[in-house]
Amino acid sequence: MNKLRYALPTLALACWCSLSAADDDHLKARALVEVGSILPLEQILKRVAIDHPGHILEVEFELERGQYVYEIELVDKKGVVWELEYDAESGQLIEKEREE
Amino acid sequence: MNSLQRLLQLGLTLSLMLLMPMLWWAGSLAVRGLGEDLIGSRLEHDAESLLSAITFTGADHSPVELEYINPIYKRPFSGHYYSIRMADGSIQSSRSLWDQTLDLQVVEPGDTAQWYASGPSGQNLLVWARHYQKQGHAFTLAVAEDLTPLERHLSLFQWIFAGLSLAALLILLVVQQRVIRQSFKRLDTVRADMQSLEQGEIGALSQDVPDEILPLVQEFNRLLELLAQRLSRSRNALGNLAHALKGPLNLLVQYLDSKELDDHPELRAQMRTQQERILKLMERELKRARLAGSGSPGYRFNAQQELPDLIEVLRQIHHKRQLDIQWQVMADTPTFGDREDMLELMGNILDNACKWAKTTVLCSITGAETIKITIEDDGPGCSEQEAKQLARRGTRLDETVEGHGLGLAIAKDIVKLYNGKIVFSQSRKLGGLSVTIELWHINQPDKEQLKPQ
Repeated sequence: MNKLRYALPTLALACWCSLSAADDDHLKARALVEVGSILPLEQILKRVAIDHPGHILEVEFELERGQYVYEIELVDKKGVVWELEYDAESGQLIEKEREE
Repeated sequence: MNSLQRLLQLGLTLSLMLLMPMLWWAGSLAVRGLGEDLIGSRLEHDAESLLSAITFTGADHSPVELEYINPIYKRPFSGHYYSIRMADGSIQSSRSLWDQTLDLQVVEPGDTAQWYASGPSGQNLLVWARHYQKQGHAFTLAVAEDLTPLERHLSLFQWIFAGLSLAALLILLVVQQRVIRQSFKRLDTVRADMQSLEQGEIGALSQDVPDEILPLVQEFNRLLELLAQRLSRSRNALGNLAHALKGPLNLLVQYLDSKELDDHPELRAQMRTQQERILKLMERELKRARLAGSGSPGYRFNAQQELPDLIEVLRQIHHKRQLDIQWQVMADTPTFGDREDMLELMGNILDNACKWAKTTVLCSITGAETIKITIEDDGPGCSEQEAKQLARRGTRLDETVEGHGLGLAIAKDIVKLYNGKIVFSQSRKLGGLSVTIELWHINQPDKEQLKPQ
């Protein structure tokens, strides 16, 4: 019972930490969009719809090698899952690969 | 707009064109209302789930979502969003909203509100919001869902409804047209009846017709009966008059024999001549009335049936002379002319033949397209010159035999009405007068000629 008393908050904290890494990216993106240093997600998604139409599964916003990128996971009409990487500042497609 | 079919089609089309959009509108409204009610109640449940998941941590007032919230709120632009507005105005939105914001309205404590807002990627959102208090914090929680899928369904429904309405309209118009044609087909029997009536095959129109036409047919039959009565009444009236005049005329004849006139033999002779003329005219009218007998207007002359009766009447008129009147009608002779006209025509010529004949009169009717009537007698006959003279109205070859020339004149008039031909010649068989008449059985009296002159 004692173990459980410590275990629960620890577990909750661990969960929050692991989630917050992914869950907070939109807050950073929002702040950067507001000051105008990156493109809003809506514009990126418009380009995705042209480059590679499909149903958006997940979007992540990351700082990769000093570059802000949108990482977009989508499933196309054939059911293939793709991962696309866009430069958040220029909106250029950086990388496109099938998710293995 | 003189066509009943057009009128009915117009009525149906107009009423359906009025009704269908109303149904379309009401149906769309109902579908949309139902969908929004469902989404609204789901949003309410979602809000309560979120409320239980929210905990406030530390001093920065940021509510924290626990792991239990639906992942749909985390996928960017998923169509499901929430937004929390704290009492101090700070706003925290779901990750699904990403860098966008939700159009938030202020909701007073204890209130709920529902409104439409535009969302990311052109989405239309239904927002449900309520004011809550938890762990000492007052805030407004707004939950939103994208209405686009519902609107897509609604639009599909509207298209299907419009298509079905159009199809229904077309089907109804086709069915209506069929029903109308079928109904009017039953009028053909009435038309056939009228043709039979004209041919003299029936005396009245059949009353086995649709209820809507029955009054018309009944009225027509009543009119037909009335006309028949009037015709026979007017035909009999002259005969009756002639009959009624006989008594006073006989008295006048007796007065002629009175002694007072002995001193004026010439006057007496003149009066007697005139009296005889009057008597003959009257007898002629009586004869006509007897010949006409009964019958309906519009009946055609059926030679097979009518000729024996006519000849029987003539035998009675000339019964003193014991004439041999022979007749012959081809078996397939169609009905022709108006019954009354034909009876008068044949009656006059046969009567004339009977007057002149010594012993025998022959009558024959033949032909199909052209009806040929030949009446011959073994009387004195006439020369070619006399035959030409006969063609003139009122001409008499011999004043001594009873008659006044009117009979043949009437016969000529009737033949003229039917654009027929009448020829007087010498009979080869009997040596007397031969009268040949040609009529086209389809012909009706010329209307222009029927006008009183």
